Amino acid sequence: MSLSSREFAFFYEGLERGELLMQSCADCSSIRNPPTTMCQKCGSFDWEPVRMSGRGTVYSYTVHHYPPLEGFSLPHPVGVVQLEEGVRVVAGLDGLEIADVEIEKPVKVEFIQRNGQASFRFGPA
Amino acid sequence: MISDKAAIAGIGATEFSKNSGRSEFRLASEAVKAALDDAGVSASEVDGLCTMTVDNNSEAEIARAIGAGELSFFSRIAFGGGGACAVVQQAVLAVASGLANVVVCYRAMNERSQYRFGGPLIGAPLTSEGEVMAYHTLHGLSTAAALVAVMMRRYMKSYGATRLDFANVTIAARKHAAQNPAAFFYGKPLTLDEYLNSRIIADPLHLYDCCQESDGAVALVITSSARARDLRRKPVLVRGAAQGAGRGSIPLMNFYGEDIVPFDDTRIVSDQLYRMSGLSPGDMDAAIIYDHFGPTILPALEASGFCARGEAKDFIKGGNIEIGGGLPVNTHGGQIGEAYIHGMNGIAEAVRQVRGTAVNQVANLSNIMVTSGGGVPTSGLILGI
Repeated sequence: MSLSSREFAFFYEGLERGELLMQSCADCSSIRNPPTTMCQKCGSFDWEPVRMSGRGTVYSYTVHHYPPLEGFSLPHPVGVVQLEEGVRVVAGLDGLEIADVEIEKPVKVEFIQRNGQASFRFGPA
Repeated sequence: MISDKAAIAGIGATEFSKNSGRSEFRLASEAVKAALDDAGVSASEVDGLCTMTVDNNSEAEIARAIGAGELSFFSRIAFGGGGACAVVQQAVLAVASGLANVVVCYRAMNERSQYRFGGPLIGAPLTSEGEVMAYHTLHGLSTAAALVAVMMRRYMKSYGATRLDFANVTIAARKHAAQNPAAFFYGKPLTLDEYLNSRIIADPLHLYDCCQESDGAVALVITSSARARDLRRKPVLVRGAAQGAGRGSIPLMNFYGEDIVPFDDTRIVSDQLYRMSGLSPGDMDAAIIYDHFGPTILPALEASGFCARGEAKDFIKGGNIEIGGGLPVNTHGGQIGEAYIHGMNGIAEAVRQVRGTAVNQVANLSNIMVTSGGGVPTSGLILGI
């Protein structure tokens, strides 16, 4: 991605390999999202990418109707997923039928191409 | 510390419209001149200016346009609509510390006719903030409405609030706006049916949950309380002025902590306001609660101590937030009903309420709280006699 800084590059590269990666602190092992420069808990600048299982539940969501969003067919369900590793991630929920989207719904990651780049969304578990 | 040291001595505004027909620079100039005239202060006395970072008129440009004096204070506050009350805090800090004597706060936007805040957010490229924004918007979660909708869906699940509850906010706002000649919806109250059937924007938010898009400008003049007592208008004391942001919060994208409902930022502000002023929620005779999206008024009322968590849906029933109710809210109609000048028109209404000159005047008002945007690093004021 043209905007990608060093903190985010690993994440987008992971998507190209079909992996959902998060930063794990090298010193205290806590996993964090969104990517950032250092560990909020212990202050370490060292981290390793760790691969998420891709399983989680819907924590919250919306269905976007208006205005038009370039590259998305509307209405578009999108929201926050609580991954089983304890960290949350924002993603499209359009692997599900809109009528099936609800808080606490079990979901699983799907790696897709979105608007010409490697991305991901969630669908039924 | 700063409580009661400064006062809002003047307010000014342009008309609010969907197409001002003139530049934001012109709008700002008009509003600032009107505020100075209202205060009875000449432009050459202005030695400080403050606005929000998103304003397109620099402090230097406004100072030049109006014929301000030499400046000793100029400042801006970030995070969009979270910043309006903080702009006043900046002025208060400048005046209370002796850095400046007459500070003008302003905000001018041709947001309806020129650019529209309702569209997809774009963070500035090559900024860490832009990086975080792109991380979210690439999934099609990119408008303010959609982002707030995700927060409010969680609120509904946690506390059992429904669209029927959210309706109370909008219907009250439109009732107040209907009486307010400055309001876009003057003469146009809204029925429950119209509210429920309005077009869906981002579930659960529908059209009438959203503030307007407006062209217009508002300006305020802040001086010391002592100076304000010598001027034209009844002084409106700034009894408290605070900023607040929850730990680790991400503006509009705060989905990763314990609580994604827009609460903590406002709670941090209200705690300070009550401490600074020595007042409590029961002392507030009215409140201007930020309504970029009406449903956020529910957690904002809770975070401001007017009711317990989750109980706002009951607090707002039965006309309790309308004129004549226990806590009149957004007596001008709010940003849903009057206009959306990024929180500044709400501060102006609070000033009128303290002066006793509001259209929907609350009788015997002593203190009024103002909050700024929910879901972003935010701010608030308590104004009083």
